[in-house]
Amino acid sequence: MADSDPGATPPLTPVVFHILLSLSDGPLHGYGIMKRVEADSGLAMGPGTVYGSLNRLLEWGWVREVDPAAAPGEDVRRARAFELTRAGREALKTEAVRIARLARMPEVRRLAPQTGGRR
Amino acid sequence: MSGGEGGRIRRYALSASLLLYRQLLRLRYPAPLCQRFGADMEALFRLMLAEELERGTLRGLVRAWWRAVRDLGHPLPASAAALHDDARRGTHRLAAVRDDIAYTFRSLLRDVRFAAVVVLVPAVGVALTAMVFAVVNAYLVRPLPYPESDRLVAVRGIAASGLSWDDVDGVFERAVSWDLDVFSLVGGGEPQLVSGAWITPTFLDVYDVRPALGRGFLPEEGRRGSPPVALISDRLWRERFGADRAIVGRTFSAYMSDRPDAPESFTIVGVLPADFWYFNSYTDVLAPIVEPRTVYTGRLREGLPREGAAELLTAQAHRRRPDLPDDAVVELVSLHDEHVATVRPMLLVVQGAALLVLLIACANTAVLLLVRAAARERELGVRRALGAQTSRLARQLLTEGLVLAALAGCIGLALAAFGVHALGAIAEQSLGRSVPGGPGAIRFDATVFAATAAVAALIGIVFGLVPLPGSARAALASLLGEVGRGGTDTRRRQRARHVMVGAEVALSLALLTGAALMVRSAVHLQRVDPGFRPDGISLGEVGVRQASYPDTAARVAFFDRLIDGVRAIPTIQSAALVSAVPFTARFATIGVEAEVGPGDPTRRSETVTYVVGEGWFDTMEIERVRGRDFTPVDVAGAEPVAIVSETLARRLWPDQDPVGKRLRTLPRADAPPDAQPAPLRRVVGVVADVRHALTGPPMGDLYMPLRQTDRAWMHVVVRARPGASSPLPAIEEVLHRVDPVVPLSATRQLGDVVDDAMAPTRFLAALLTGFSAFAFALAVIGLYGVISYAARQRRRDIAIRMALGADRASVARLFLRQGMAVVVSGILFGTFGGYALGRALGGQLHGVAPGDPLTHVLLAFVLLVTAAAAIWLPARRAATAQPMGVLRE
Repeated sequence: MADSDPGATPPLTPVVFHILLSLSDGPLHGYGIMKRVEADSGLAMGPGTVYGSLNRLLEWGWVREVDPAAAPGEDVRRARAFELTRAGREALKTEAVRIARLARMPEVRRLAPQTGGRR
Repeated sequence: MSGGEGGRIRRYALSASLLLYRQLLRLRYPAPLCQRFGADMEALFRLMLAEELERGTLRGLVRAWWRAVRDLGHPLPASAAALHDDARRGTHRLAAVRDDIAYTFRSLLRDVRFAAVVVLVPAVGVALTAMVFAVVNAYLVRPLPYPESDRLVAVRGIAASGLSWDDVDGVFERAVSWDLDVFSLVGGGEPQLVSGAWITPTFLDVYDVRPALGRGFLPEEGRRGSPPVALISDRLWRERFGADRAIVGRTFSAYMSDRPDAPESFTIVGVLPADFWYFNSYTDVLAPIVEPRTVYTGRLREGLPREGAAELLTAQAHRRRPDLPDDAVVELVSLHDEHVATVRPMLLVVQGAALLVLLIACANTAVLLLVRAAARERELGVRRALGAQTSRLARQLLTEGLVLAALAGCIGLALAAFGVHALGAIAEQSLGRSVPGGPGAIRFDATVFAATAAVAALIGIVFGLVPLPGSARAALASLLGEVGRGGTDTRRRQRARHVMVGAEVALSLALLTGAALMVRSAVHLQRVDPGFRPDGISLGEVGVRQASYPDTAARVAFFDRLIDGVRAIPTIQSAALVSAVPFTARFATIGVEAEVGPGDPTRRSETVTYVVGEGWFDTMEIERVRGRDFTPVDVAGAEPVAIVSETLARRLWPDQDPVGKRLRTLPRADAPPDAQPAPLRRVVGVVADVRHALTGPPMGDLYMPLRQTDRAWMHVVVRARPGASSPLPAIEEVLHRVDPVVPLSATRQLGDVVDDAMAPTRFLAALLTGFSAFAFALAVIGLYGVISYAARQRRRDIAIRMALGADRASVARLFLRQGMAVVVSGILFGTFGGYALGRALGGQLHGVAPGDPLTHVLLAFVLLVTAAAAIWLPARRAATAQPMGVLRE
């Protein structure tokens, strides 16, 4: 399993990670992705980054296009919509695990207060 | 109002941004990505921008673009490996540009004075160009404010008189005819004269205008016998009817110039919108025309070309009127072209002059940049030696140029935006034509923005490239130690500087020449003797109605009572009646035929005709050359008489005394063939020529006595006693006593009218003078700067010469020789340029030729002397430096 050895792949760029993350709840339009990423992380992406990255993600089969009607949003009905593929979901999961482990390191080294529930 | 304006600005911002963004996408991203997602990116940008614009136009624009630019600068994952974080190493191209921009700002801030000159001077050039282009755009570029206005045409040409209203159906979707009229409104306040027209009921559809209140005319309201209805202008609605929103259905009464005695009552069916623009000003009261005859304008049927339509109409006219001359045609002129025909040449000259100023301003900045580039040679050389790529250096210089140009463009646009609101009124006054769409139509729209941005971009590229050839060499030079020696200028850059300064001199001389020619034209016009003395003359127009004054005798009696009453006013020196006053109308000539001698064949000529009462020549102070004035004995029953001007007399009877000879007027070309010939008139006097406009040769004047003609409309012309106040109120009082319902209209001072005729010339003269003064100052500054720089660069050289025994004068002469070579070649080119500009001014020049030697020689001399001074000062300073001090440095 990939998540058993997250150190085997280099980390994802923040942009790619956030795009994948924004799609984890279901299909979105480009506009929806931009808004979701901004709301989740404060990362203000523009059209070039959104579609430039989606273009690559499509090439590698991490996302695929879906029927635009499947995604929420009134005024963007005619725009293209995207959803995660299996591979994309795997990559996201790998990265999430890596980050989670990374986040635990300072705690383990007693550099940061321990997060809830873990004593 | 402001909401609408704001909305419009927002829409322009949106569409201009989208346009720009699309280009940037093409530049930034590879073609496959653009093909695949270009439209999506644009759509997303549009959403983003629209969202930001909700927060305010400027703020939103800045925020959206800030985000977009950062986004464009963000690297994209280029390969599978690049999906990952560690692939972001290396300098990104756009990041480098960002560094360059920051660097440019830092270096500009280091030398604020330099930055101010380098940016502000072209900014003024951009502002001038943008403002002039805003005017050009409103008049010449933007279509008339009607939908599909290219199908709107005016019907012209001799054969047009042969067209009947029924002939044009096949050509026009809708044709429009009108009769201009003056309505004197009575009841509900003071009697008021307003300009209006009888117009085709469907005209609102032709121009696609919707009334602000009520409705337009119904087709059946144009039929004879249907109850009178009217549309009124927004102005009249506000001023006379107190902006009453319940006005529709109310009535008003008005006398018309040619209608029965009793006032007619009109039902108001609608109010025209406030922004309704029509190419003439007769729009206060519009009423349906009954049985129109002449087609003036119309909307061509869709897909019908103008030439084809004109041919069809010409054929129709000849079928209906076989007596028309064979070569008579119907012409269809685009309504837009016709409206702007007189202003086009002037506007193009002004636009050209503004561009020249911009060029000079840019040359000036380019010179300064070149001078600085030489100073930066060492910096670039060091960077190059440290491994900077030439392309990277070139890009930095280009970025600097673009930043400077962008700053100049923005400041220029801001300056122009302040000024643009005032332009409408100025343009209408000085060009003598209304702005299509109203004075507010002179504004910054997408076209003006785009053109200005394009100009600014062009300037930026030039600014960026100007220092380039030298700097590419600089790398080599630094290796050879040339730059390191500090101070020796590269020959190529020196030549570039000289070319720029020479161009400045040439262009400013060309502008100065244009300005001088226009000033001389204005002076010439000021000195033109109109043949009469306009100062102190007041005018008013009086018309009597057919029903109250049914025959000639009654009308003559009315005018007699009026003029007697006016002459009795104590502040009036003299008074007269005339059919038309010079300068107040366009005069058309008609044919005239003279008896040369008994039994001899007749001689024909063209002339302007006037109908005058007694005292006309004395009131206007027109010189009487021979014979007598008209007197009260020249009545209808007596022998018909006439007075001719010297020019007409010379044309008809070259070597004879015209007094006692006979002549008659010929029927007009479009008169019906069965018209009565005019009576033969005996010439009883000769007077000096009178001008009808400031320009053009005398047309020949033929005067006929009022008592022997039949006129219902006359102008009252009075000369007030020196120092007396305007006699117009007293005249109105007299008129009121003679007939209480006849109004005095079109009152004005003849001095003002003659003065207005000079407005376009004065405007051009003032404008070109301002432009050329700015240009001249820049040229002198540029010259001074270049020589100062050269002198500083060659300090050591000079010091060595002087140490070896050269005297100060010879050193100063060295620079003078070098500088004057540039100036003289500039003057040579500039003289040609000035001549070319003079040719372009063409019809705007009066009493002076484009090649006028005095103007050219004088200006060349002035420029030569000023330039010599600008060179001498720094040269002298260089020569007075202490040689040993310089050498020790």
